[in-house]
Amino acid sequence: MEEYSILVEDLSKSFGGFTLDHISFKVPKGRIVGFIGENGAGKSTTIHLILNELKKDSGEIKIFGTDHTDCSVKEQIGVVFDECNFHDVFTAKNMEKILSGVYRSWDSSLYHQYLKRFGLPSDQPVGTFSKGMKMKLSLISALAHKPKLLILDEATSGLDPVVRDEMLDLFLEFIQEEDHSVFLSSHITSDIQKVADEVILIRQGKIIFEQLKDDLIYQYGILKCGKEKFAAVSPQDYLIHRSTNICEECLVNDKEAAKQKYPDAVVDNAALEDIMLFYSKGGESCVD
Amino acid sequence: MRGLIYKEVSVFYKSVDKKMFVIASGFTLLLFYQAGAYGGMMASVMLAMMIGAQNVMSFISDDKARWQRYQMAMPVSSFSVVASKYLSVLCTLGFGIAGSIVLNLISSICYRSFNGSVWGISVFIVVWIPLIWTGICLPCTYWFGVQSAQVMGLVFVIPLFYLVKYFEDGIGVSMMADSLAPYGLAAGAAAVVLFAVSLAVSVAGYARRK
Amino acid sequence: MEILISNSSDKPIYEQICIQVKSLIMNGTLTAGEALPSMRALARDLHISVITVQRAYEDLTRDGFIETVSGKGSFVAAQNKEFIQEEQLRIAEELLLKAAQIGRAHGIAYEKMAEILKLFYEE
Repeated sequence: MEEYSILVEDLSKSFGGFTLDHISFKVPKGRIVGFIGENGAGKSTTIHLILNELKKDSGEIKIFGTDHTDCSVKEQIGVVFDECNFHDVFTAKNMEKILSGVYRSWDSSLYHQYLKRFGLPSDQPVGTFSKGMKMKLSLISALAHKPKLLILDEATSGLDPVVRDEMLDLFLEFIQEEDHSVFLSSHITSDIQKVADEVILIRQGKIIFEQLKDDLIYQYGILKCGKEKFAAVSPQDYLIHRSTNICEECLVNDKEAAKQKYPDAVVDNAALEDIMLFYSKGGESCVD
Repeated sequence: MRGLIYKEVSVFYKSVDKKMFVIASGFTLLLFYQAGAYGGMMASVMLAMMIGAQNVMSFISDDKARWQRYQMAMPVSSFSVVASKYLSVLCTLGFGIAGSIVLNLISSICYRSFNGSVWGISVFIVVWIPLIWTGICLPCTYWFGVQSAQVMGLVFVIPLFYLVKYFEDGIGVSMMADSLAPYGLAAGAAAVVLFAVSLAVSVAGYARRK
Repeated sequence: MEILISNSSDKPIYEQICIQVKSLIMNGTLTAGEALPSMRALARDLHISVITVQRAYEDLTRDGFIETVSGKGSFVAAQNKEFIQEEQLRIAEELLLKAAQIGRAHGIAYEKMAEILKLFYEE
């Protein structure tokens, strides 16, 4: 039985000045996988390739074990982009007529339940909705055809914390089924830190890491020490180092060990954002 | 696919530009007055062109909503997407036929003249012009974008106006109806063939977008 | 089942869940044979990752506090006295370690500490 909802192997794509360079990763069933990276790192390109909206140069993409170019596999995928892609003149009822005529497994009562739950009017044109309402409608429309995989491309950007929290709740509900998965690309690392099971970091078209979120949050840390003390820090004990005007900072992947070995230094917890900044802003990296 | 057909038809009538509608209505009234008993037929020509153009203009709404990328995530083949558009064009012909009948009715009542062949030609025109118009412009949209289709549309309109002018100045509108009639069958067949070939070309254009 | 997670605690969330479930079992709030919420349901209610809850449940199983039946869920394991005592001894050891650290750091004599412990026992 297929254990991955998305399996990407050696995927490459070049265009303009950008290259996605032989990336590989997996999204297991039953998991929420966060896909983080700076703007322009390749997140949206990767998602467009998975959905076959862009043609890949090389590599393999499988969705539930089927090649991604088979368009029937999209019955099982619900997609939400960073903007609601419904015409301003359409109402929620219009959208239902459209989508129920496209997806075989459209569940009308589920759609209306969601509309009611989020207080979305069914007869008002989408153009009159606030951004939060539009995104909720997009998400509801993706959920109402009962997909097994949710793909979200920056879907929580630009939303206030209340709406974001409601959406994150919906993801956690969606995952209650063991064969459902969520692939969520975002630059709002706090959202990913909240709900993701695994995190994939992409930078300049390359995958930097694919880790369990708990490992990142509980084992990674930031070691801070003075410039002189830094000379005593062995390069094998950290991943990346950067200098500020005041001190030296290192990203370590075993903060307990760092605390014990360097008791004079400060070893802070590392949030996902800190880790991403370390990898993005650079500094010297040490291959562990 | 029926969902997409519904969407295309809905966008067609929901995205009618109010300003264009008013201008076109003004023009139609002018034609009515000028063309007398043939007002209904001339107005049908206007209506036919509006329907042809509006079928292409609806792509602008799609672009505004960035609908295309959402559509690409749907479990529909390139063929289904394009075929839905073409089938929706056929649906819009219904609006045209209804409109033409109404216009000719008004014309007939106002000028107290009922000419069966004028009615017949009006209905033919209101089906034929949009088929040709969309047959030429839709592949342009799928290959080169809406702007190119709008330019094509203009290119198509100009000879049409000259044709009407030629008959107006020359042998008169009444003769236009009679002289064009023999070409009807050939023209009709040509329109159908063009429409079918256009569909194939459009599918190729849409599929290659990646 | 009431679990309170602290985001500012030094202890990882899975450890917090583990400790709290253990104390709920030991003080009798959760009785032997009682069903625990499913891992996914608990993750949803606590707004955390399923993997975190999975780890907590694995630790609880390893330490003998719960049993997981595939397809049915997780249940509180039957407790025997020695077992509970062992766990409580572990907790007491941790506290005694803290007391010893304080004593050593501030020059409090061992005899003074032992005296105090004796007093508590005799209360």
